[in-house]
Order: sequence, then C-alpha cells, then structure tokens
Amino acid sequence: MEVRLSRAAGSRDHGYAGELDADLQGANEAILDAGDLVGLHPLFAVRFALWMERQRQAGCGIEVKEPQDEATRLCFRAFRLEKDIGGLDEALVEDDGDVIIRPTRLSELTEVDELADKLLQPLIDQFDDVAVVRDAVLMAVSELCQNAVEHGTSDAGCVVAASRGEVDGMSQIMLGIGDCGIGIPEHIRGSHPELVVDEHAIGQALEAGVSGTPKPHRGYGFSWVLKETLASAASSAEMFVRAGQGAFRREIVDARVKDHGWNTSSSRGTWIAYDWTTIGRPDR
Amino acid sequence: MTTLENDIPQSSASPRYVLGRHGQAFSTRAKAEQIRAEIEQLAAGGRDVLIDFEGVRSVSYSFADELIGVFASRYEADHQALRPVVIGLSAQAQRVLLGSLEQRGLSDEASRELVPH
Repeated sequence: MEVRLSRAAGSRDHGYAGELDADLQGANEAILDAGDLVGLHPLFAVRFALWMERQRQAGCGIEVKEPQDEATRLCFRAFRLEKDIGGLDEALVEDDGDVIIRPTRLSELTEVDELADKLLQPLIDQFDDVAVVRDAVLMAVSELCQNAVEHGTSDAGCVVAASRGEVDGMSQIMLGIGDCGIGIPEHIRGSHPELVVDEHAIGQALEAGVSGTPKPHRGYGFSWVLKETLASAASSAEMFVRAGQGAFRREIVDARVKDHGWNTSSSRGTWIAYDWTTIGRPDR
Repeated sequence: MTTLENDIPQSSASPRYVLGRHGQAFSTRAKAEQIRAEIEQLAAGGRDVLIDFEGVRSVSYSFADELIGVFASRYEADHQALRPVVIGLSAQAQRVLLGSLEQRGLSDEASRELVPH
C-alpha cells in the first residue's frame, strides 16, 4: 500500500500525520511517499514521529520516501523522523541547520527543567536572529511541556520539537508540543463542566486563572506565554491548539490578540504549535 | 544535592541560597518545591533568607510562583514566617516574580520588601 503526502501535509495546521492511521488501516507494509512535501513544522514532526513509533510497535513496516525539496529533506533528516523518539541526551541538534530540538520525549517534570536549561545556551549562542523572543520561547517550553507531562498522562509522554525558519525574509522560530492524554477540553471540564464545546474549553484554558485542577493560583501558564510574547519584540506570533473536537488559533500582531476557535475532527491528546516571527534577518 | 553550609556568607546574618548553582533556566513547580524545601532547611528556623538569582537567565511563571509566591503568601499571612528576600534578578525574572506576587494579591509595599525594585 502506498500513501502520498500532499505538498502542504507538513504544515502546522494540517495535522495530517494524526490522520495517517485511517489511510493505512490494516496495512502490514506500507510506503509513505513524502516526496512532494514542502515545509516541515515541528508539530508535524512530533505527530509523525509518534505515528511512526506506533506503526513499529504494531509490527507494521513503513518505508518512507524522503521529500525532494532540499530544505525540507534536510529538516526531515535532522528531525530523525524514521528513528525512535529520543530522550533528552539527543534532544538538541548541534549543527548550523534549522532544526533546534528533534522530537524528544519528556516523561518526568525534571526533564522539562533540564530541557529549558540545555536550550538556553544554544538559543543565546546560535540563534541571534531570534534573540528577542528567547524569553517567550523558554516560557512556552517550560509551561506547555509542564502541562503536557502533568496532564497528558499516557505512555507517549510529552513530545516536543523546535526549528527555525524564514518567512518573508524574517526569521521565525517554531515549536511543536504533543501528548496523547485526555486533552485540554476534558481536563478543563474537571473544574468547568459547563464548557461542553471543545473549542470554547480550549479558549477558556488560555485565559489567566482557568485551570482543570482545584488548586489555587493555577492556570496562568498560557497567559504568561502570551505576556512574554507581548513583552518581546516579536513582529508577530501565532499559537495553534488542537484537542478533542476543537481547534483554536491565537494570532498576535502589533500587540493585538485575535482568537478564533472552530470544530474539527476528533483527535486524542493535545497538540500545540507556537510560532514567533521576528524582524531579525536570518544570518545564513 | 546542595552544599547548604557553603551557601551561608560569613559576613551576613541571613543565610543566602544561590539559585544559579543549579542552572540558568528553571521551569516547573516540582523543581521549585524541591528548592523551597532546601531553602527551608537552610534557614533552619531563622526568619530571613536571601535568595540570590544572579546568573539565572530564565524562570517560568510556575517556578517563580511556587518558589517565591508561596513563601510570600505565607509571610504576608504570618510575619513570623520565613521572609524571602530576592536579589540578583534579571529583568525577565523580576517581571515574572512581580507578576506572581500581584496575582496573589500582595500589596506593592510587600512586593518591594521581598523583591526590591
């Protein structure tokens, strides 16, 4: 059986890797043709890596045809999408390519602290063009990975990846975080059962002080990622969240925040992409 | 993990906890709880403790709130409780710490006492 990925399958919103199961249902051997793929968002990398892992565990052999586009192929290889998801020791990519963090599994909260600490120096030394959003990136890695490890309780743990890109001549830093837990809407309904519509539940979870736990002073992580983004000199930023049957996009342009939620096909877990665009010019 | 006795400056009456010895970036509430326990041990029933953020480049809201916010709430409720005085903050860490104290409803006066700015 052969499945051919579309040109845009690797984009942030598409989330196609999550639906591959349906396309390859029942196949013991399959060819996945990624030849047309152009662009590879870290969130796609996270979903793809988890999907590949599941296929291997189920005994299904997958042959992957690499992207033909050179930049996409380099990212594809740097993300190591055909290999097992690695741990912290292999997280950071130490070359001058665009991949910063290859898909990495975090199972314990201590690993979230270790990742942020490991990531700091490369962000300072190698990524001058995105220096203005460093605080926002570290806040996002800290808060969102912590949520995923704490609430995404499944064997898959939290998987995170990051890369640098370029859009309209400006530098961009992109983050993808996923877990296979109950998802934000179900979690939030633990404290807010009235939020029955998944995209509304996601939207509320982004507000300050809204949490699925009854503990006081919780539920500020998302709002602080936004605060740090607004405090930075990012020219724009965008967050995308998909969980349950909801999807939610938050756009930040010129310090203005625009939110949009919509209904989508059901998906297990929580999948988050965060992109920051800066006025810094890529130096390569 | 921490050599607590080495954290006490000879010239100061208050013990000092040097956070930067444990890294440059701090993320989780779990890590903050662990460090809070170490600070309580270091204070050994005393009233004041200096928490030195020199060299710390990044703190998350969760970490700051669980470490300093919890200490600050306890101190505001009971002035006999341990008083954490924070020094050596980067602009980022100060912004986040003050955000935690504001969210917890601490007065400006109390915030200035604990986080000089």
